[in-house]
Amino acid sequence: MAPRRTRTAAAALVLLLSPALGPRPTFAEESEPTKKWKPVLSLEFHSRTIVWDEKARSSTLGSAFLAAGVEVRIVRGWSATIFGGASLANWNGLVFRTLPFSVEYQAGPRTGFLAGASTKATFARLGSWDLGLEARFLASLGTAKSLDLVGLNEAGTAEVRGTWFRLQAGPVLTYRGLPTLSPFAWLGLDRLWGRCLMEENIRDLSGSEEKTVTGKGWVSAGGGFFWELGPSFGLGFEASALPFKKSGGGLGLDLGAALRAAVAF
Amino acid sequence: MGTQAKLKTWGGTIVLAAAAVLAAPPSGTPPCLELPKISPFDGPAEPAYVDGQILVRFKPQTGAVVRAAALAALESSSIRRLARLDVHVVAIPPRETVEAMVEAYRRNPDVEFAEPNYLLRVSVTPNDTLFQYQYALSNTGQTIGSLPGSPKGQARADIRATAGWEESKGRPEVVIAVIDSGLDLAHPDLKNKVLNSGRDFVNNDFDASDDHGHGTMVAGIAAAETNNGEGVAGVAWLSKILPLKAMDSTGTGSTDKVAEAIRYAADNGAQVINLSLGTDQPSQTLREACKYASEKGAFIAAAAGNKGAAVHYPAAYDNYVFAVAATDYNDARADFSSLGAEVDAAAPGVRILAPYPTALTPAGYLPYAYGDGTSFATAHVSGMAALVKSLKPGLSPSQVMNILRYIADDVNAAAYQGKDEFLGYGRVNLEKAIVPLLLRK
Repeated sequence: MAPRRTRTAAAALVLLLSPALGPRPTFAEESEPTKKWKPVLSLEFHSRTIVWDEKARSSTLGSAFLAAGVEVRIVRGWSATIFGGASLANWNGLVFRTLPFSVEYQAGPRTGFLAGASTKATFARLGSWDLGLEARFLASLGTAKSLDLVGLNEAGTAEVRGTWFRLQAGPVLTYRGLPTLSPFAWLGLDRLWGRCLMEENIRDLSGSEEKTVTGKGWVSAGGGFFWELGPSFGLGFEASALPFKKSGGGLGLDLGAALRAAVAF
Repeated sequence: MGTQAKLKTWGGTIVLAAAAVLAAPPSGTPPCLELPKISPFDGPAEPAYVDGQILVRFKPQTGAVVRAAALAALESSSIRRLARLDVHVVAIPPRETVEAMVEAYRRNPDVEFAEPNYLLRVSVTPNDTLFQYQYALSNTGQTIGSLPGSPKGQARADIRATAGWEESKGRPEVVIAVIDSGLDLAHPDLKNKVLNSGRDFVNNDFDASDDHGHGTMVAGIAAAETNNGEGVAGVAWLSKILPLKAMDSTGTGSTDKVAEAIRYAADNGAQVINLSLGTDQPSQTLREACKYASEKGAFIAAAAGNKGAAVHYPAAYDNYVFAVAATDYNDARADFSSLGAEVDAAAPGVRILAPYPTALTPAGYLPYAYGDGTSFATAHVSGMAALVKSLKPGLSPSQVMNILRYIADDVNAAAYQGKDEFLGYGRVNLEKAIVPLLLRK
């Protein structure tokens, strides 16, 4: 027991001292050495505090997506995944003040497309512990949605279209000492940025305003497990938290969660 | 060309603030009024509430099963319960109205009360001592004046200034040129608001002092110093005033002087020009001056006129000038307000309290006066335009005009649906002009 505790402590130390970490293990590389590619399905949710108007104002961007992709083993211990799917982005609370009529978006989630890619590499093994690096890029491209401007003497519409990008990178520590369950933890750089375009048309009165947003906080941490339910099928779950400094002082916390399924051929 | 058309100020009646002098101590020291806290919530609540929700409290002895059955019977569900108040936030069926469901719950003997989930909004109330009489800015149904027999207004028959100020109080860079009889440069509510001593086109100098009173009132309505603990509030708290005297001590001015003042205002950075004056004679000179100023980016508001007849000039120059009619403290059209297709919108113009030149004020009176007229309605619109320009400096004059048209409350819709020749699009609403509209599904 003592050596294991030592290894655990050492691994934890490595994790804490890492400059930045990022998520997403799937099947253990060694458990399926002959499988070259495997489809993956991912359902994710995250809530992120965003700032805009030169960081003077903030709101929360809620996002969910369902993506399907394929993970390809490039060489032993190094793989890449590309994926795409549908996304929902909720820009509620975003205020556009330079349009002819100022508007506050409160119309809930908007649909869109999601595309992304990730890569991961295992570079160290300490007994049952794997230490790897992973990077992931996500892009959510919102579709345009027209909404009625109510309360005016003339009929008018506002069309909204939002896009966000997220980049995560950093080390991930996975425990391989259990037969079918692989718990993991990570700590990583986590940046989110995007823009939301609002166009207004009320008869001969029109205007557009693009709001550039960035996510608060730089480093997120999380953990979860991957459960191999059979030789070719597994399920994963993870939760994440991203601390940030609130504008008015104090610490805020943005949360995320993901559910993944992977099938190996 | 013969003689030039004479333009007259559209001040209508001006009544000195006699209410104040009655309250003055024998020494003649101006009275210091004790003002109650004014809140827009004092008046009847506006029917603005959360769609699809109501608030319900059951009687204390009502058990959970009975509560659940009552909710289910009306196809609704409890979103959450405010524990300390024992009030349920209830989601109602999408096809039902809030009013109908409130009534349905009230008929249930187990229900103590049911009500809409009303929306509330913070507002800004300035501390100016006479603010309580400025129904045009915040009408709570208060008595307008302290003399016996002073009228009472109808709550919310105002321009929604307090809610609008929460969004913006203006910017000093947005200058309002008041082309009128000048301005009392030493008035306590105006001395800190003037850009400079102005320009006097009547006496051809650079001292636009007011020898009539009308210009001081108009300027004060648009942009009196506000939240300074005395006098009245202006619509545009922080905007500066450029006083341009084109009307003489009788309230009359010539077309050339007014046109010259309009050009001067445009050339000296005024983004809003207030023209509380007019004539029934069209003038190409005046029209060209308005066109020039508009093309230089100045929004121009002008009084429709006080004869209950056709809209006068320059208000009738539709492409360049926003024509303002007058309403009263009940949101009814003032009977003197001129009419026509050129009327863009209306603003309060009856019993409007405003600064009055100190030098023209009889001893014992405060330097404030009540006035009637589309002039004073126009000044409200000029103040609003300054606030819009402060928030959205890139807007053209025609865009500002359209904003003020489209946000007006159609207060005479019962008789004249939509735009009409009496009030145009309706009585202007500062809250709708600058506070963000909520975009919902």
